[in-house]
This record gives sequence, structure tokens and C-alpha cells, in this order.
Amino acid sequence: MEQYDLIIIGAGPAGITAGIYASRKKLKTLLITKEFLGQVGLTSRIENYPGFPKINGKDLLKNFYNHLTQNEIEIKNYEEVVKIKELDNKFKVKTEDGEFESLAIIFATGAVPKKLAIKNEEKFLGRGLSYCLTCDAKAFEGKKVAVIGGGNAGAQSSVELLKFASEIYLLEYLENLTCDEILKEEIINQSKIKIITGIEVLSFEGEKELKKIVFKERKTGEIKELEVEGCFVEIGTKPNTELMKGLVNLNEKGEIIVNPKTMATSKKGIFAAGDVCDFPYKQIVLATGEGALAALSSYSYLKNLKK
Amino acid sequence: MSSALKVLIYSSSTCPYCYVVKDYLISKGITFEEIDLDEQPKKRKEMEEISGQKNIPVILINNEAVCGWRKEEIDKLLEKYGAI
Repeated sequence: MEQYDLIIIGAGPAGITAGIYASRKKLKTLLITKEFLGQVGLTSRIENYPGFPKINGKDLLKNFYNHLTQNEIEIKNYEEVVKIKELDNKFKVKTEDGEFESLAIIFATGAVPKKLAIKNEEKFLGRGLSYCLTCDAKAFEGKKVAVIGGGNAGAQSSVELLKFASEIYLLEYLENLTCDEILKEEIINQSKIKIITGIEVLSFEGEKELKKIVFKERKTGEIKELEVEGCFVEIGTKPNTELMKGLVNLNEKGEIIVNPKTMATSKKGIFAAGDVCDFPYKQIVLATGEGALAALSSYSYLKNLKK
Repeated sequence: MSSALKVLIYSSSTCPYCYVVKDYLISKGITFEEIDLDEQPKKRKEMEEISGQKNIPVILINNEAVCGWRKEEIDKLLEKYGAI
């Protein structure tokens, strides 16, 4: 069985940065990932990553990938980790296609977009409903569209839809939008974007295709309907930690609890970085920093282990 | 690989999942044709009729449609036609 110093699981900004740092420390490193994508790859517009005033997620990820592959690192792409077993001072990582051993692990499995879990959500997927704005926005040229979620992703999606949709309804559960102030200003000044806050979306309705969204005004309890032909869901993410249950300590949200000085988890030899961790903010720049820190801490850990 | 295999992808230049699907097929040595809906917007209707839905990517493997980046479903069809 192939032996490594370090196995990194996941290839978003955190996993890729950890890979760059680990390879520069000459650790024998294997990076295993289902795909090179992550939340960053799905983002239409990034304006807060230093050095890139405006870049789309796909291009930023491509830059990250090209940087990673300039370094000496083994990559298993399109491969999913199915089990991790703890041995004496090392770990056995089983994928669909093989088994590998390492002395340390960095979890950088990120997060996946949350679904609403409401009536008819599955039925209208692809029939008016989409979770990927950069993929499907053009299908709604000249149409009335809703975006559910008033965080940064929802606000950015609304702005992006200005190019295509005739009217955009931005729906938010809380009383106020939670996006950055600069985005708030941008959308408030757009006559095509209508903001509806303090509502709970209850169901999607229509025959073959989405025709309306049913929602409840949270203050009054009044049920209302909004006629739309399309809807994008941007209500945040949930950590991708199924694999880690029972192996490392998770918080109530299912995020991995880490020591913020080292990115160490509750299990010796296992580190974590990026959106999978219990850091309160999920940002690309934080994920890359956490990835670097996790790799440097892994290096220190391995050096002590080999003494 | 089976010489009868025909793979067609409906994609767009801004669609990240389309890039993943294409890269995955390349990694498996599968050749494919591509219809970029940005360049051929009139083909969107054809894609919607074939797949019964609007989202991309749509991957046609010997005329059987897979909607979205679904590795298991793609692998199943590639196996069915002896391509992997």
C-alpha cells in the first residue's frame, strides 16, 4: 500500500493551498478529490480576493489549480474517500478505487449548497428551479425570476440576473438582507430588483414547470403567492462532514471544531481547513489562509513524530 | 472503447459543471461533441425537448440523457456501452 506523509481530502481553495504549502515543505503528499470545483467554482463574481479586483470563480479556481500542479504533489481527481480508519500513529484512507496510508490528514472537504427541503423542490429542479446561476441564468432571458437568500451569494445572483431577467425578486427569511453593504447599495438602486424580506418560502407550484412561489409573511402569518418562471436558491451551505462523524469532534452545525492557532482537530494527526471548519466566516481568503496554516501545522506535527 | 459510442454535451462557457464533465470525459479517454448554447442559443429548445428540463449540462450518451454532473450515472452509461 502506498504510504504518504500527508493526505489532503478536498480541492477547493483550502485543500489546494494546503497542497501548495505541503509540497514546498517536501512532504510526500496525496490530494484526493471528487472534483476541482468547490463553492468557489460556482461563484459568478468575486471582488474581495486580494490581487483580483474582479474575477469569476471558475477562473480563480483554474489559477489555483495551475499553481498547485506546478508543485510536486500526487493528485487523485474524480475519486471519493469512502472510509478513514485510524491505525497506530497513522491513518488508512479508502477510496472507491484504492487504499492509501498517511501519517497526517487535512480535511478540506468544504460545504455543499443547502436545499430548502420544501414541497415540490425536486419536482421543479430543471423545470424553473436551479442551484447554479452561472450554469442556468441564460435560460431565463426576459423572464420573471426569484432568488431565495439575501446573503452575498443571493445578492450577487440578483445582480448577475440583471443581464437576463425582466424582473428579479430577492426573497429573504430575515427582516434584513445579510449581504455586504456594498452589494446592498448596488441592488437597492436597481429598479428591476424587488426585495421582499421577513418571509418563509413554503412551496413551489405549477403543472409541468414552475409558475409560482408560495410564501408566508413571518410577522403577520399571511400566505402570499409570487408568480415567477424561474428561481435560484442561494440559502447558504452545509459542511461536508459525513465522513468525519465519530472520527473528529463536530459542533451543532456539523462543522469540524478546530484549534484556530493550528487547525488541529480533536484527533491527533488530523487537521481541517476551509468551509468545513467551525470558523464563523466562510470566505475564499480565509479558506486559503486556513489551508496554509493546516499544512504548516501538519509539517510541525510530522517533524515531531519522526524525531 | 466501443466505436459505436457517441457522446454529446450541451454546455455553456460560464457553466462550471460543464467544465467538470468535459474534463472527466477527457480523463477517461472519451471523445465527445459539444454544443455551446452561448454560440448556438437556438439549440436550447432541442436540449430541453430531449432532456425534459432546462438546466445544463446535459450529456447524451448514445442518446440517453444525463442531466447535470452526475458521475455515477455517466459511468453507468459508459459501462453499458463498453467505453470504460
